[in-house]
This record gives sequence, structure tokens and C-alpha cells, in this order.
Amino acid sequence: MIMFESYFRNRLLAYHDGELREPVRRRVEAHLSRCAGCRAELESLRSAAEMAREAPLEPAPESLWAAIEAGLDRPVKAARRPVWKLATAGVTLALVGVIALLLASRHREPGWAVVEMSGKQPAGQGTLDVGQWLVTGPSTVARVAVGQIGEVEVEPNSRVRLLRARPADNRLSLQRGAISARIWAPPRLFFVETPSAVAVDLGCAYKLTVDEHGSGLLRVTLGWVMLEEHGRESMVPAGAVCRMRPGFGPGTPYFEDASPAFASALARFDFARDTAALGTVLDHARRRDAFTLVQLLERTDAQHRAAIYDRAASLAPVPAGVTREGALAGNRKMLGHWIDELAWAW
Amino acid sequence: MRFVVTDTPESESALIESCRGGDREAFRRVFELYGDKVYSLALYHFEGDRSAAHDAAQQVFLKLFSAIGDFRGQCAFGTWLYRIAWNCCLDRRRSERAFTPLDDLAREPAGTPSIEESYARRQLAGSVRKALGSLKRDLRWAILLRYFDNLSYRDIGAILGCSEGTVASRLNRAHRLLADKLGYLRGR
Repeated sequence: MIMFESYFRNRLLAYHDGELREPVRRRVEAHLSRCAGCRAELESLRSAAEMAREAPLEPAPESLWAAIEAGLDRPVKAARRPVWKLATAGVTLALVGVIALLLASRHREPGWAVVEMSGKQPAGQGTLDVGQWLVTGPSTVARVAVGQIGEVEVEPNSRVRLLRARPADNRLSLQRGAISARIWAPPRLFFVETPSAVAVDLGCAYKLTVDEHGSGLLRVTLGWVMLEEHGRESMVPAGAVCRMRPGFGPGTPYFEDASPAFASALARFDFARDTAALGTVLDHARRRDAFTLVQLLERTDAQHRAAIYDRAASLAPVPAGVTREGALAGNRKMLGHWIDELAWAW
Repeated sequence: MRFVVTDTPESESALIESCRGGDREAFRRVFELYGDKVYSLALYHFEGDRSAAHDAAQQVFLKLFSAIGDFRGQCAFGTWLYRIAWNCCLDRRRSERAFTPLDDLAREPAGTPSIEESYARRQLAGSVRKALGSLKRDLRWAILLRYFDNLSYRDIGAILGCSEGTVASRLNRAHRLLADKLGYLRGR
């Protein structure tokens, strides 16, 4: 009855793994009770399974994520470029690769100290290591030391993660909840990634909120913060706020004292592509809202730019060096200069 | 709850949703969850060729992130990811011009072994690695998927594109071969 026995032998591992249907399982079990050969075979398979479980998982090299990230950043359609530009790009990529590898081979980054606050008094402490999450309860505020360069207060019901703690790259992820950051380091050393945009510290104090859908709001109280995502940038000064949405990135920043009609129309224009809302934005813009209009120029279709430019120019003087043609073409240098000049007046 | 420091991400479905929204941090978390497993599968597939495994794993995650909008939850996310990994490794193999001979998989992994890891355990791991390296690839994948992630026969079949019966047969064969090759270690 060799065939008969092979039927059972071929099902012994599935029996061991609990993968047999009930009638078959019972038949195999009955056979095992009277067949010493199959019992020995089952024991041998069980032993092999135990050893196979020891198959070591190899840790992915740190350079792998850097390579994936570089691939994510690569544009889908590559434009045709002259050979010398390709060579330059190749050298740049090689340098980036070397730098990434050097960074990847760094020593372990130090964790950040966390203190739980009860009112103004410390009530507990811990350490947040790179890769770990800090989750606050409904009534907990945690104060996190950003290395030597600042401090972040994590508000209740928040979830943040320490991504990097390097001298030139201190990076948190805010998945939900709210943080208040005070940074006293030079610009571009502290970053907060959210589902909608990355907040780049430019020497400032600010509050960042992210809701359960990943939408966020930045409110700057001192200095400047830049929000960026997919090449879209919003410069947000003290007294201004900026909304952001997953998939859209940052909206256009505006001053907190702008009229509700202005703010609401701006949100419709930014995130709902409601071009009819642009008229309301322009109608309700005040002198200091020229700052918002200038940032709108860069992110608006060409057909709407003239109206925005004309309204901004009517509210605040166009500084020397900024031309209508340049502004309508979205010349970043000119628009940046215009915003700098506007900053003196607000 | 006051505050908690944890290594655990939020639910996988929330993570996938964030990935669909293009959240780079969510991508990174997916990589942290599956990076070691995908890299290991590729490393075993390419018989210890770390460079090939690196390239294949990179391709797997780039494909995953570009196609994550197509994931509709028709199977477990891991199953879907491993299917991409299997296909990437097969495609890469096909694109190679020369046959790469079996390498000695018993060499030490790149990481430094932990102090606690005993000599005997390292020796066993090395022997298992070598024995796995001698199996045909479809048998090897069946074993790795079974033990890296405790996948069911059905899931393994979905990944490798075969029936549950074929998975059972491959696993049975693979275990018998391993039992033969590693039998000398039994009882140690």
C-alpha cells in the first residue's frame, strides 16, 4: 500500500501546520496513530520546520531607504537635456549618494529628553529615540528638548515621531495633534514633517496642528516658517497662518486678522480649485493682504495672474526691481523681493 | 494615559491611506515595517548577492509606492507587497545575461551579531541559510514566506501565483530536503 501511505506522507506538513480540512485532518490523525513510519516522518518535518524558523532575517542596509527616496524624488518623465547637463547631474547625484552613504554610516543619533508637564511643573520624564513615537494622552503635555537648539511642546492627544537627531537635521513627524516649537538655532536646522507638508524652521516660534485626516494648520508667532511639499512653498511670517491638505500641500498664507470672507474664499481657491472664489479674495484684500496676493501669483494659472497682480499693486507699492512681466511670469526672485519689501510695512 | 514612547506605528490601513495621500513619512514607515523582510527575500533569491538584493528591494518599494493607489484591500497588504517582490526578483533574474552561481550563504550577515546571540545559534542560522540556498527558488520562497511572516498556504499561493495544493506540495518537499540537509543538527 505504498500509494496509500504516500497520500498521508504528502499531507503531514499541512497537518502539522493546521492547513488541512477537517475530514482529511481526521484521516491523517487516524493513520498516524497506527503508522510508526509516518510518525517518524512527522517528527522529522517538525524538526525541519523548527530549524527553518531560524532562517535569519537580514537587516536592510541603511543606504536602501536613501536610494528609494532618491527614486521617489526622481521625476517620472525625464526631459531631454544636453550631455553636459546630464554629466553635471550625474556628478551631483554621485555626490548626493556619497553624502547619503556617509550620513547613513553615522553613529547612533542621541535621543531627545522628554518631560511630562503638569501645569508648569515637571511630572515625569523619558527619552525619545530616533524612530520612536511619542503619544500623549487626553490631558498630557510633553516637553521635548530639540537637542541644544530648541524646545517642542507636544499637546494632548498628539502623536509625533523623532525621525532624525543630527546636528544639521533635527526632524520630527507630526502625525496628528499639535505641537508648539520654539527654535533658537540658525534657519533650516529643524523640520517637522506632516501628512500635508514639511515645516522648515527659519528662526522662529510656531504652532502646528494636524487633524485625523492629515490636514494641518500652521500659526507663526515669531520669525518665519516655510512650508513645502512637491515643490510648492509657502513663506509664513509671524502673525500669519497657513492651511495645508494632503495631496495639495500648503495653501496660501494669510494674516490671522484677515476677514473671514477672505480666509474662507482663499481656502476654496487653494483646495477646491474654486476659481470663482478668487474674486472674493481680491475684493476683501486689505493693504497687508498684498502679502497673500503676491504668494498667490506664483501658484495660480496664468489667466488669473494679471488680476491678482493689479490688485496687489493697487494695495501696496511695487518695489524697484519687480516688473509686471516678471511677476506675471512667476519670477521667484522678484516675488521674493516683493515679499521682503512688504514685510517692512506689515 | 499620560505619555507613551513606543516603536509601534498606527494601524496598517491608516498607514496605507497616508501613503495614498503621498505622505513621505508614511512611505518610510512602510519601509521600516517591511524593509528587512523584502531585502531578506531578495537576498535569499539572489543567493547572497547583496548588490542585486539592494537593487531589487529598491525597485520593489518604488513600484509599491507608485502603485499603492491601486491597492484596494482585496488581500492583505503584506501579500500584495510580497507579490510585487516576487515579480521584481523574477523580472530581474530574467534580465540578467549571465548565470550567477550559487554563493556561499553561510557567511555572516552585514550587521554585527548581538552579544547575547550564542555561538550555537549563529552556527544554526548559518547552516539554515546555507541549506535554504541549496533549494530551488520556488521552494525557498515558500519556506521564507511561511516563516518570515507566518503566512497561510493560501496567501503564499496568492504571492507565488499557484494553488494552495501546489504550496503544500512545495513546502512538503522543501521541508524534506531541509530535514535531509540539517538532520545532523537534530537534538543539538
